[in-house]
Amino acid sequence: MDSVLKEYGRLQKSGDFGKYVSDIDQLLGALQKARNTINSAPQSRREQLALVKSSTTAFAEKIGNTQKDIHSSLSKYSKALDKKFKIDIETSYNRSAFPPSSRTLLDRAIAMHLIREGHFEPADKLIKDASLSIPDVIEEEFKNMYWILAALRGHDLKPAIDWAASKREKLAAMGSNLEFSLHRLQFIHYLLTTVDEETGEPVNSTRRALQYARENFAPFGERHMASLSKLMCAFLFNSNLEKSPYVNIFLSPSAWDDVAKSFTKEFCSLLGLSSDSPLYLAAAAGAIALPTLLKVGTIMREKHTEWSSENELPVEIPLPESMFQFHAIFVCPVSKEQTTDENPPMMMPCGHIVAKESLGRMSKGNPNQRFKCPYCPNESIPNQAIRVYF
Amino acid sequence: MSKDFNPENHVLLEQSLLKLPQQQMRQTFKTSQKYIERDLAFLNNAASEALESCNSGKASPDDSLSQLDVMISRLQGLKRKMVNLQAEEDVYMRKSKARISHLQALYSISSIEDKDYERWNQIRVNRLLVDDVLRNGYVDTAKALVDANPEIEDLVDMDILVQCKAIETSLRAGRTDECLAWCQENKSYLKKARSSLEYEVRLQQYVEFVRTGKTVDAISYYRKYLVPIADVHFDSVIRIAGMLAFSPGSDQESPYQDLFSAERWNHLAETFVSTHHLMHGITMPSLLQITLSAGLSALKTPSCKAENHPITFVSNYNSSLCPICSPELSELSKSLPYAHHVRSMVDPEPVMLPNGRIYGHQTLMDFAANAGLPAGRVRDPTTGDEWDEKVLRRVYPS
Repeated sequence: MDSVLKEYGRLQKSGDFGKYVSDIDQLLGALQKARNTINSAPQSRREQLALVKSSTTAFAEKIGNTQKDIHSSLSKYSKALDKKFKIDIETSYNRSAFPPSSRTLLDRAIAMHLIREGHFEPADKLIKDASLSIPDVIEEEFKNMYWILAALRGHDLKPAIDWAASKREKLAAMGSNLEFSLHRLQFIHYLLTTVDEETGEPVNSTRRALQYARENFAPFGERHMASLSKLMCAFLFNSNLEKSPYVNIFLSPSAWDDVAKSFTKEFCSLLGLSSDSPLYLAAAAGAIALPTLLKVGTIMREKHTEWSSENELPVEIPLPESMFQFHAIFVCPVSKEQTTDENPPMMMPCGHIVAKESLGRMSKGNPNQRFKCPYCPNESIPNQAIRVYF
Repeated sequence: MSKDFNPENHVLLEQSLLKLPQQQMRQTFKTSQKYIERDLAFLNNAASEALESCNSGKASPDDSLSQLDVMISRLQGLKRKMVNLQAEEDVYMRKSKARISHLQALYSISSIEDKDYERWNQIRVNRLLVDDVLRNGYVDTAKALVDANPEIEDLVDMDILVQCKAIETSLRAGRTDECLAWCQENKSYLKKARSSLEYEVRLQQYVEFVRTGKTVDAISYYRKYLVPIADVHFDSVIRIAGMLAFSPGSDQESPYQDLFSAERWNHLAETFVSTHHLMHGITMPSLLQITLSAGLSALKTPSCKAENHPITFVSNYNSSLCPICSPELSELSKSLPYAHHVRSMVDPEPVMLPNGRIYGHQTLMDFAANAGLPAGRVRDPTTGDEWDEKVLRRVYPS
């Protein structure tokens, strides 16, 4: 980018159209002066007109130079860009990806992305522009979610707690302990707050926290006993929390962010949606994948080859697992192919797993043929292998 | 896998971001050249003439004054035009600068997991969305997006795409004026690129005269616009002359059915858009589409299905969060190839439940704890079935 930046700087200096204007102003000045002189002293006419003639010639030269300067800095800038952007990224485009018939699907995906990002105004416009039908309830749910999140940012947990309580059973079914986390944060928050947010009056933080615990913790006794006893012990250290063994659960700087994050995640889950916008994730993955695909495309064009398998990308795309891996992947250690519904993973009695087709190959297609596991001394027959699911 | 961040890889995807305003600057510069050339010739002549007519005694002092006045007003006109061009140029320079800074921001990012990268990417996605919706003519959506994200204002090219869409729409509605005006504006490019767009549009205008029975108009249009370019499109010009002998519509056997077809207008509209995009160096699919076609495939696995995946927050691999399985993208990703993987990626310490489902040991323990199961019990997060943990069997995927 440095060369681009440098040429941009040059362009800014010598590519300025303001020079044209000042060149013109200069000649305008000369012409006006000649006119005034002739007007007041007609006898100077010949001399003045000769002056006009020479000023005009000088102007022609001058504006010509200005033009040259602008032209040269503009073409140097253009060259710097051409050098920087050599690759035509359209070559990596999968032409069958978005047929015209998929337009509504894409528009819908964009509208959903906008709604879940909280961009309700553009989302509404898109729904209108593209005549989409997206149930109003989705937008309302997300408006509600953003409202609860805004309250959380202001350290007001009540709306989140009310929501979690209203979804208690569904949340529990998916192994969520959001409601308890919210109550715990409220307890800690009370314990650390010495001034009432609403009235601004000083409060007895210990008493308020204790009262809160008594009113709200009982239903969680069974499931979260360990966690609760930690909390209540920490209570004893209240005057000296920084040095207590409980400093981590109490003063975690990301406590509010963490709770907001898991709230978002679980709120979206109950709507059957993921918390990160799929469109955003796919675009982010695409930005990482494209350079690799472009490189491969270039090589394949040079060698006049094509993808051997049209169901699969030609190269591995190194996406960071933590952000972009959502499914367990099983690659058969024998065939090096990913298993699919047609060629599923099969476990042999010894506990080793291979793809079904590999199993067939090792037993020469005979389901009762004994063969040795490629990974251990065990022998078995294909009929003993069972289908497993990752 | 690699989290190393290579800014160059991101920069190389953004060619039209900088090239578009640069190209507009070239256009502005060319316009300035044209103005200067014309007015300079005029001024030079006028100056010589004023001096000569004074020397030869043909002009009175008043004549000289009015000769000067003509020069002055011409020059003022040139100044006005230059001031306008300067304002245009300023916009392109400002946009270029904003875009360079936008790209430069990439160079201070060290990892894909950086918060800064996420922010950068959010801006990128927003400007890609504006570009994509504009190509469909959703101007209100685009405007609302820019209003909601003012930081992208200098990073998007609304005007060009809005104009393009307007001309495309006019062609689809059977109007040629807008497109012909555009051809006129970009005559030199079209000539250099040997584009046949203008010819095709003119040809269609002629066809319309024939279609509506305005034979006289057809003939004069043919003479005026098609004959002059007959050398380039000789065969076609000869062929369509014969059209006058057939009456459209009534005769199913007409050899000119292709030209009378209503589809021709859509064809013209598509030709126009591709010519326009090629000239501006804009890709035909939107950058969003290009990015998504790569991203959807990179994320897609053989396990991606539209069916609902179990919602759990304990495994390393949380299929319920998979964008490809999401209701938003599953249908769109259907026909795309899936990612290539050479290594298995499964939870550590994989164990199998009696139903054949495999999870990480810790995953099952965490899920049981979160679900408040009694000690020693496990529950399949996918099916909800429960067992004693004794049934777990260690498996060896690789």
